[in-house]
Amino acid sequence: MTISSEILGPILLSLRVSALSTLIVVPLAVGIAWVLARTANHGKSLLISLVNLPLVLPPVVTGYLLLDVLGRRGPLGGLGLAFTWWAAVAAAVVVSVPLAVWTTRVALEGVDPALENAARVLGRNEWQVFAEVTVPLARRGIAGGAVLAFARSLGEFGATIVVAGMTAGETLTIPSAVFLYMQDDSMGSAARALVWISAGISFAALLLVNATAWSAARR
Amino acid sequence: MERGASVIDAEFVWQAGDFALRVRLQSTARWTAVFGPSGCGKTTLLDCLSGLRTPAKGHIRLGGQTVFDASRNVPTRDRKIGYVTQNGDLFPHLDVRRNLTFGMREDTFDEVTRLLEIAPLVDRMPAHLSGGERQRVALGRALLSRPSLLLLDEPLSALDAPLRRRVMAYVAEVKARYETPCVYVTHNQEEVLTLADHVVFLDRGAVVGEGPPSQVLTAPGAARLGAIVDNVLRLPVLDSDAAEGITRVDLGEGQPLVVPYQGRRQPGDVLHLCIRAQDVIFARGATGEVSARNVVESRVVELVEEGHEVYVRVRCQGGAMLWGHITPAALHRMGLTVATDVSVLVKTQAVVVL
Amino acid sequence: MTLRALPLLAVLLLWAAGCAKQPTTPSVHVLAAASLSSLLQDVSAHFTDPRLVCQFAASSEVRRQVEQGAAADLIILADVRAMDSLEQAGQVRPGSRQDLFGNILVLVTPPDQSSKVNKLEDLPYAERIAIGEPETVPLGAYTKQSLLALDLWDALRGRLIYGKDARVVASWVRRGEVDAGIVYGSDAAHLRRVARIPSSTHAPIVYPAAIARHATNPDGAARLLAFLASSSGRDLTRAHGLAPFQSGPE
Repeated sequence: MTISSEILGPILLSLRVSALSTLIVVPLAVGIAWVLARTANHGKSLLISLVNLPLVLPPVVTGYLLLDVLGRRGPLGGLGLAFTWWAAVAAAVVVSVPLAVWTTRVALEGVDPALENAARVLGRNEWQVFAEVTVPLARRGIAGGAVLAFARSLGEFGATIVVAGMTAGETLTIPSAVFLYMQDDSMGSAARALVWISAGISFAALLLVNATAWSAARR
Repeated sequence: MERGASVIDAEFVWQAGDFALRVRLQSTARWTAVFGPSGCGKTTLLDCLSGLRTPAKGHIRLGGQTVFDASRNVPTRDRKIGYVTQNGDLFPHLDVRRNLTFGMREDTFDEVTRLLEIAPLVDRMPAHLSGGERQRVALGRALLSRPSLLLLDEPLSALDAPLRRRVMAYVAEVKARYETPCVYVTHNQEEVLTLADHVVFLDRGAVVGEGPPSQVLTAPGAARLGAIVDNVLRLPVLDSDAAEGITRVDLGEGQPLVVPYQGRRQPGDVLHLCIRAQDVIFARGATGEVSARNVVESRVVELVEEGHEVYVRVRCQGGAMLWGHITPAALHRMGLTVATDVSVLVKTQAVVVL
Repeated sequence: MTLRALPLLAVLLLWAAGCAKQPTTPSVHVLAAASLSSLLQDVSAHFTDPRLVCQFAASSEVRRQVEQGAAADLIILADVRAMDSLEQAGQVRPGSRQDLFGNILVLVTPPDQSSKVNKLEDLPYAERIAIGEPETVPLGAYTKQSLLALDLWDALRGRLIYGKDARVVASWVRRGEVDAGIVYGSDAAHLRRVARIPSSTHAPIVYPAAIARHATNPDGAARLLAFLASSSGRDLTRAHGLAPFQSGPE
């Protein structure tokens, strides 16, 4: 392994995993937030608890639960996803969903109901009201949820090492690489480089979202 | 629509916490005003008519069709209602054109935008509209959805007085041009007098009375009127005379009304005008030379006495209706009654062009 | 007013009680590799004077903590290199270093007999094999040495999945996610032991121990080392799958 592949490999892999995870999480969060807005109370608390589970479980436990589903003996074992980068994506999705759902839900509920009513009066059904009025007006909050999901996916470690392993190029994400490199004196500088680069990526993502919000406000 | 056809036949109860709305309302009038103080339940009434809220029991029939009863609750989107709120509630993420066409059922875009004079605004975003422009666009959006019933919830309340009159003139134009019945919620008497065919009085969740629009002047709890009643008119230009400093508009069927010179105006251009009721002078019998340029023959159609105020409504030659404000003494001295012929005198300078 | 102050008072009292001088039972502070946690918990039940206070982490982490001044009397690691650097940094008392335990590598398969791997030679027929990460985790490093020596490394390379430590590898084997795995002998409980990896194929797996230079209770540390060398100490060690060393302190 050359120096650059030790650093570049995990970065590229983490970016791919986090990007795909975010692409999956955002529509999932919007859908879940919509269901939560429409469900009666008893159904709602069940769904909320399920969605928030990864927040309260230790990440390693989440990893083993994922392995129960995606592993050889699990219901989805036939797909052969465990120990592939798909498993890393799955781990990232599962831990990011609670954050994204929370942010998205706040954004959707912040939309003025008078505007949704105006759309109803003008002939739209509930799904159209949601898609044409509520979601566009909540897009800034939804984007914030996407950034949170991306950052959380980048930092996902505990579940990933259990359900995906630590294979370089396939499942050795930045946090896993940092963990490994820290154990070896000769890899100290590589570890340090990865830590700073991943912090830089998250920082850039945050800047990007804030910049778009700022320019939208100026218009 | 045929005269006498039922516009609204509603009897229902709506409840939330301590507040209950009990409505019994049957109207065949084309434009029904709902008049009452804030908190009386006017908006809730409209929400129940439009289906945004569901009453606990009762029935609602709009234009003969049942939209709500024990066995049926037609969803809002199928009730074909046009709703204009106090703030307009335009979609902030869509430009004016997309707002207008949001619920458009027939392509009457050009006609509506011309009527409301909003065509130059179509590419703007709602945030860049003034209050008056916003309400006109909201009205246009409602009209373009070809509703069977218009619900206007204090559409002019958020506008200041001069702007309110300007926009009211547009609303009057809409009423004149379209057959669509309307329920118009307001706590402003001027709007009732100008726009309504019938008034329903609402107070603390119950209907406490109904009657002709002039009844709003004597309504229990009505504010002291003084000189609040004004005549708001939208009339086309006939011609102008710069040397004389006048412009003449058509009061109806060619009957001219002389107003202050408005610069280069083409015949047919429409002006918004206001004549205060207290500036309307009545004369009976032959009038000699008068200093006012406007002397119009008319006939008394309504008299309203409230304490020390008397309001006289006349139909002028040409069809325009005007309110005048006189003292009880003048009323008795002149012996005015309904169907009396009188001359209406208005000074040119008393006509305010909005 | 007094009612509102009540919870505050309660908190203050509890805090003061916590800060009150503990009865001074002497204690020995042990920083040890995570893989020794079950053994040392057991030892602390038998060795009560002085009582044991143990903290567990990966060997590299323990080394870092000691370098940064963490309080310790006795240090026991699973990685020889880590102890070497502590020694070089002068963090241990000279002459106190000794090799405490030994371990072996074993080939294990899921306990339910579902795997086709029944001997070392069957490994090439396995679809998926779990080992420790070979570049940085000690378990993985020993495993790679063995597989290279046995000429199996290249053949198996594409089918290996790497775990963060022996615990994760063992969990994968136990759940049947893999057909076979290689773990320490001390971690093979609840798994099917198929074969012992010959010790000649890898560097000796030893757990070096040393008394910390800045130990506050070096005598206690020495007494613990003596206990571990005693017959009851050795019995406990064997019970946890580790091999006790014959020699006493140097």
